[in-house]
Amino acid sequence: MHASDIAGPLVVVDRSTPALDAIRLIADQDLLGLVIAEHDGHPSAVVSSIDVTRYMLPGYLLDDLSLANTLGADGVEDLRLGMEGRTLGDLVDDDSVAVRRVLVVPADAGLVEVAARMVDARTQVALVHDTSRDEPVFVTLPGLLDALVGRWDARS
Amino acid sequence: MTVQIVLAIAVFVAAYVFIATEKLPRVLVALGGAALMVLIGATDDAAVFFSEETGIDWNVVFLLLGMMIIVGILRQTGLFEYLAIWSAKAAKGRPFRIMVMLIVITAVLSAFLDNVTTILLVAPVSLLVAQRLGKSPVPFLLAEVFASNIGGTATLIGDPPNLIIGSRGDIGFNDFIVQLAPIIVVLIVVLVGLCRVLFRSTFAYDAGRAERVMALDEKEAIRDRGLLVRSLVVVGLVLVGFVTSTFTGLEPAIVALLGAGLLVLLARLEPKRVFGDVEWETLLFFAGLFIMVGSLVNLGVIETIGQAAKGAVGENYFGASGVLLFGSALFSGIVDNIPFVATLAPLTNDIVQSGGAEARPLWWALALGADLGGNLTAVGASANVVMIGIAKRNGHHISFWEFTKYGIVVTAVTVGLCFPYIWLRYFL
Repeated sequence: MHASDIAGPLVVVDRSTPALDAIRLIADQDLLGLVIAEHDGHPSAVVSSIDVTRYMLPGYLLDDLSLANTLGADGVEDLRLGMEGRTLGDLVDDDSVAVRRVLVVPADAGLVEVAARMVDARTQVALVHDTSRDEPVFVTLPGLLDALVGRWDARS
Repeated sequence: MTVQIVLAIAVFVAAYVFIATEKLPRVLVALGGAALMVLIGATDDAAVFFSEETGIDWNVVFLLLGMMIIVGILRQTGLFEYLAIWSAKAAKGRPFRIMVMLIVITAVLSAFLDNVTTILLVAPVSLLVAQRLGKSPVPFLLAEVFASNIGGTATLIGDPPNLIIGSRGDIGFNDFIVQLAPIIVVLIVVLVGLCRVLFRSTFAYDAGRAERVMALDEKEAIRDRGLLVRSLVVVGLVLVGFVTSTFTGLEPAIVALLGAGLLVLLARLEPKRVFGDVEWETLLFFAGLFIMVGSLVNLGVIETIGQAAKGAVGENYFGASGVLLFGSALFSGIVDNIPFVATLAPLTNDIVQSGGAEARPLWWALALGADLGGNLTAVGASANVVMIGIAKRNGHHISFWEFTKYGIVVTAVTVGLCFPYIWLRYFL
C-alpha cells in the first residue's frame, strides 16, 4: 500500500480567509488542522487546530493561566472580538504560532516511510505528489494509522 | 603593576564589555571571567568560598534563593492577580484611577519582590484590563515598570543592588526602609503626576468599557485558599524576621531561608512547582561576579582606586554623593546595575570606613542612583526588557526610543529630587 492509496482531498483555505471562518470550519468538520494555500492555490503550509486556538487566545492568558478564570461571561465574547478583522495570513505571519511548511511525500511512498516522514516533520498532514490527480490530495495521520492497523489485522 | 594585575584588569574589563553589550549570556561571561581569575592566580579556592571580603557573598546568594522560593510559591496562589483586578474595580473602571492603583500596587509589591517577578505578575493582568478598557496597554505597562524600579529601591530586598550594598556595607533591612522609603514614597507620588501628563491622551472614560472591567471576577483568581493563607502567614513571619534581625542577630539570608524552608514544608507542592521559579542562572551570575570583583580586591586594585577616590573626595562627602548619585544613574541606565554596584561597593566601603558616619550617605546615593537609573533606557533594568517582551508577545511593540523618551523624563525628575533629599537629610 502506498501514499496515493490512502490519500484524499482536504479542505484547503487561503491566506485571505477570515480567521473566524477558519475556526468555524475546524469546529464544523472536526478538523485536526488546516491546509493553507498560496494565492495560486498551491498548498504551502499546515497549521494545527491547537495553534489556531493558540492564536485565538490573548498572549496574557498564556502568560498567566489564572487570569482565564476571572474573565466572566464576557470572556467568550472577548475572543470573538479579538479575532474580528484577522485573516489566516495574519496567523501564518504571527511569530507565536507554529506554522509548518506542508510536507510533500511521493505517491509511491510506503506506509512506514510516510509515517517516518510525518513524525520527522511533526505534522499530521502530508501532501501527496500525485500528478495523476487534478486536485491536491493528502495523507492524514488518522488515515495513515487506520491503514497501518488494517494491515496488521489482515495479517493476524 | 605586575603582569598578573594587568591580566586581571583585562579579564574584568572584557567581561564588563561582554555583559554590557549582551554579546554572550551574562552568566557565561561572569563564570568564564571568574574561572580566568582563578587560572591567573588572582584568587584561590579559600578566598572564593570562605572569604567574606573577596569571595562569593553567600548572604546575597542565599537571600536571593530564599526569596525566589517564597515568591515562586506565593505567585501560585493567584493573590497578585486578585489584587490587580480588585484595584481596577475599586477604581470603577476609570483609566487614570486604574493606573494610579496599579502604580501603587506595583511599587509596594516590588519593594518586597524582585522587580522582574513583579512585572511578570502585574503585566498580564494590566493587558487584560487595558483590553477591557479598549485602551493601549503601553502607557499602563510603562507606568508599572517605572513604579517597579522606583519601589524596589525602598528596601534591602527590593532590588539586587541593594542586597549587595546591604551586605558590603553591613546595612540592615530597617536601615534601608528608614533611609530610603521616605523619598521613594515622594517619588511614587511624583510618578503619578508625571504619568498624568505623559499619558494624558489615555484617560478618556467610557462607561460601557468600565462595565466590562467591573465584570471581571477577581475571586476566581485565587486557586488555593489554603495555600494562600499558609503563604501569607510565612511571608508575615519573614517580614517580622527582617524587621527584628537587628535584635535577633539573624542575618536576612537566614531569615529568608528559614521562611522558604517553612513554606516548602507547609505548601506540600511537588519540587518542580516549588523550585520552578528559582533563577539559578542569576545566582550563578552573582557568584561569578563576586569572584571577579574579589580578585581585584585581592590584588589591591580596588584599594588603589579607593585611595585615589578618597584623595579626590577629601571630606567633601556631599559632592561625592552627588557624583555617585548622578554617575550611578547614568551608568545604570546604560548597563546592568548589578555588576556596577558589585564593583563600586568595595570602593564605597573603603571611603565610608575611613570617613565614618559623615560618609555613610554615599551608600544611599549609590543605591538611589543605581536603582532609579534603571528607568533611563529600555535596557537599563531587567524588568524593562521583560516588560517589553511581554508587550511584544501581545502585539504591542515598544521601541527602544519610545521607552527611553519617557524613561529620560522619569529618571531626570526622580534622580533630580534625590539630590536635595540627600542634602536636606544628611548634609544640612
